[in-house]
Amino acid sequence: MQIDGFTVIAQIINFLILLWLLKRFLYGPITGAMTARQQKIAAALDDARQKVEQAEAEARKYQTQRAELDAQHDKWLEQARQEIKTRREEWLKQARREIDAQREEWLMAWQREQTENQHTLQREATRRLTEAVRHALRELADADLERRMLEPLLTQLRTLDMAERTALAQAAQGGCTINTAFPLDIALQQHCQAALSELLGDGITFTFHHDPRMACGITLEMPGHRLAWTLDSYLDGFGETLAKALNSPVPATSNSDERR
Amino acid sequence: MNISSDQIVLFEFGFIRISATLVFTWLIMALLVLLARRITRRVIHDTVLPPWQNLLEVLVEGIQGQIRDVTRQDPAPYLPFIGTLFIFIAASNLLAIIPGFEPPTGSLSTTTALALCVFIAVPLYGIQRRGWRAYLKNYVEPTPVMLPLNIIGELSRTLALAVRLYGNVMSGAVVGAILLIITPLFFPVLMHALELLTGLIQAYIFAILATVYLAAATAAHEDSPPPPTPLPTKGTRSINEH
Repeated sequence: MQIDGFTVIAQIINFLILLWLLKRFLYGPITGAMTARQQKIAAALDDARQKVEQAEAEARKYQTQRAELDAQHDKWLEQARQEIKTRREEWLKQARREIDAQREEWLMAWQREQTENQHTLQREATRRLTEAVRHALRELADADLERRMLEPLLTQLRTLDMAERTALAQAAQGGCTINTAFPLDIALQQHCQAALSELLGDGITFTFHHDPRMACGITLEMPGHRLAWTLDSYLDGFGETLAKALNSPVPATSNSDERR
Repeated sequence: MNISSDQIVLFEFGFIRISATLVFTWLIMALLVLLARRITRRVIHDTVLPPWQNLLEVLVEGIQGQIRDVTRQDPAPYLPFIGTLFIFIAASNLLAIIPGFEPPTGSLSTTTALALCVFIAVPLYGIQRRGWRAYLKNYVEPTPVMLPLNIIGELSRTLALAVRLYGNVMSGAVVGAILLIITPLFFPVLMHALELLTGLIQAYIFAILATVYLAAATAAHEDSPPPPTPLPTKGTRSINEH
């Protein structure tokens, strides 16, 4: 066991050289790589942490926006419901108004038709009644209907007071028109002229006129005066009675209670 | 039978005496440098590493961890010195498995040189870290009476370093040679395997003791003691484990 001085010195130098070489080729690169990797991992972790924070912020932002959208959606939905309800009510009111108008129009048309039918029925009934009365009077009294109709008119003239008869006589001087529902024969016309001349005076110009629109009767027209006896008044009452008998009352023009 | 490789002289010119110790040392140096150069030529900074780079990183990180555990300081300034000591001694001892290879650590000259390196490095690190006055003051504490004893302690531990490593390696080689003569078949193989383990342990002991000496010179007598390390408890890891 001995120590060689040269070997000791050489080994010290060798060790220092080896130390420098390993520091140059081993420790430096390895520790550098480890440090770089640590920094890289730290940077990646920091980046991941930032991304997580950004993602959380984005998530919170989206949640807020979604809540706002939900609230907006509910608001819009409620508005749409209200608008639909309002429009539905408006359309229902408009439809009811149109239905009421059409119903009113239909009722008026129906009323007009009923009135027309009533008038037609009234005229027909009057005509038939007149025919029947005429036939009955001819058979029962053995006289013409026109002659019988002239008698009440002459009776009215006779029952007038003197002042009225004088006024009529003066008016008759301007001409007297005799209107009848049926044409008068010559004999009856002469009888009528004679009776009137006896009551109103001579020199009166008589004009006989046939008016088919009259139901039945006779009218005496002078300037400013008119004297008549017709069956129209009687037939009017007969028509009302007949209408009631036929159960056809005149419908009301408007009745709001019947809308529903 | 040569007890030390110093006795095998390959070349001699004047006081220059090239022994097998130096030659094998150069071989180890060349092997280590070439291997390190080849592996670290393309250092990958990515997280997926080549196997050899991964091995070197594990080795370097292990050394750093041991230094950090002992010194409680940043291991960067001590890594080249302590690491080179460990790697050189370990490589020298492990290569002893090769027939015909004489480990340089089996030479007292080599172990003395390494111990002298530690002997010189301790005051250098201490002065660099603490300054001349504070480092030299360390020798007269707790009283100036302790100055001779402290100096003797410095010399004796250097001698102990050299002799311990030399004795272990040399004894292993000698015991192996003797067993090879007595029982040449099976028993020497087991002894060689045991020598590998012993060599690695000796490298670790040498490096750890050098680290302890450096730590004593740089931090043991600081005014404020380092904070106590929390004891590792179940479910936790201490800082030193990193």
